[in-house]
Amino acid sequence: MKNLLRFEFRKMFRRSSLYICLGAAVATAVLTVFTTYSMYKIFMEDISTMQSFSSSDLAALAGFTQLDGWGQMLIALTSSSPVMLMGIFIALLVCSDYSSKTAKNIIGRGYSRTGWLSAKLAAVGCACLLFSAVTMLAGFLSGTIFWEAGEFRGRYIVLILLQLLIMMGYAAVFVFWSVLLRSSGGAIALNLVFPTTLSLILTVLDLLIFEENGKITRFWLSGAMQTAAGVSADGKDLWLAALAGVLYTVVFTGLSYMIVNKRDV
Amino acid sequence: MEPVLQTYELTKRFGGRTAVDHVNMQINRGDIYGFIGRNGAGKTTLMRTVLSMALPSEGRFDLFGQKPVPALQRRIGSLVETPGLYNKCSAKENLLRFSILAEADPREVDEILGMVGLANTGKKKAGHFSLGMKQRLGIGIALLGHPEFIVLDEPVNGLDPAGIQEVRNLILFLNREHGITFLISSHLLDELGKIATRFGIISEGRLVEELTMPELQERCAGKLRFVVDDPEKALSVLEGLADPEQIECKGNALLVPDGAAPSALINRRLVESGVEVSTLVRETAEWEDYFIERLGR
Repeated sequence: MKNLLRFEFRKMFRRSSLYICLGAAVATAVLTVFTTYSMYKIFMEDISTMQSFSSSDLAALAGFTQLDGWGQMLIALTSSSPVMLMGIFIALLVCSDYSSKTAKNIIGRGYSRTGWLSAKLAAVGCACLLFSAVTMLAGFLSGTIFWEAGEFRGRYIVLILLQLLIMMGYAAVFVFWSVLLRSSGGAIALNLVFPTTLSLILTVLDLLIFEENGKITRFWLSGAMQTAAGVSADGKDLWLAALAGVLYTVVFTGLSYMIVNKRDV
Repeated sequence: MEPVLQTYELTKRFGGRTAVDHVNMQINRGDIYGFIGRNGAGKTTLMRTVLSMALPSEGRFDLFGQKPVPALQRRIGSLVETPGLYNKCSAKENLLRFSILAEADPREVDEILGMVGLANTGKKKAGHFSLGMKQRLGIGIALLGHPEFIVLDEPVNGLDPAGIQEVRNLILFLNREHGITFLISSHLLDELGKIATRFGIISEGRLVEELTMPELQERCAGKLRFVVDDPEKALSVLEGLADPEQIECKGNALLVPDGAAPSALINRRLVESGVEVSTLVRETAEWEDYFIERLGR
């Protein structure tokens, strides 16, 4: 297992796609905060004549919340960009041994399929943490530059850990598609299309069945991430989000092991 | 003879098609086992199965006389089908990566690069290599970690005549100097005949025959062909000179194993007995013809 881990991590850190995707994740996080800041500024200038409300109340009414470094850090992962970029990278990393036919070199040297996938999952887990960390850090720094750092609350740690768990859920889904399709092109396409399409379908179902958003959507990872990004989410919602993160991670990881162990390389 | 690979009724099916059909094969330490079969006969599937790349449908195999545990599999190097390479990396980086899996000393890498003739490729990416260079790199990867048994599937594919000779010499060197056992498949039967010590012939997934090089030579040994006017009388004369069971009679022609008796002596006896010999030729069978006959073409 030690050899497989060294092999996978060497491969991962020598891939230019890792740095390109991480760079893009940072850029999109900064641009997202900048866009929010610009819209906020325009909005505040437009309503500056309305003196009966305080500026923070007005901002909240217009949907501008968590306007500081910590707040922006917490909502950084709710954007689809970091998830999509991670999906692209995971597809490239996991499918590389299929597309370059190097999987047979690994299995032919006596490494089990389970060990091979475990090492890949360890590398993917590390990549997931990296994507989450750089996106959050970019959100925090941008938010601090445009507004201020804000006040740190102990609850943020829980929210950050919950968001990491949900990101792991996304990573497990992306690994599953990659080992199922074995082709980086197909896996990238699916990793990009699946999360957004599913979110959209669930939102439509929510609106059609319950006439409000969030009833079904919260059971999918994007809904769970929205919950985990809200500083005012209640305990029950947080537990539900954590459950979604754990379930997707466990179920899709299990499915990946099943596929890898039953198929020839 | 210590078996390096032994298969027991090994079978691999893909849906309803049986690619490897109850194969019992034995490769002993020091062998260069030439694996012969037509396209789709099951050579590659059998190799993939004993390397655990494909899961057997039935039967089992032993490595080095034991169940194939990972520690034993690590003593095997392989190149099956097209070489598995990281195309965006140099030859050296490819070898360095796989040296981790082969538990090889990284210093081995430069030695192997020289052995397979890729020492001067520098930072050139493997994706830009010619087919022959990729094949050499694949062989290099198989050599990492001083394997005791190397499985090569069509190793000279894409190589030019000089490259084929280099690979042949490398295999012979590794076999003779380092005692490495080889399982090699090739369509170039003549090439395989130059290095193999044992042969296995597979047809439609079944192992038709296993034979050693001396056995093959014996089976392909030449025959003396006498065309005579009275074959029956000639046969009675020849019975005193060669084993009657080895003499074939085809019309007016008699075929006597070469070496059974000097051709001049046979000819003289026949003439002395009043048999007229119109033709006397030495016929030799080609290995290729023998294999093709066994492959059922």
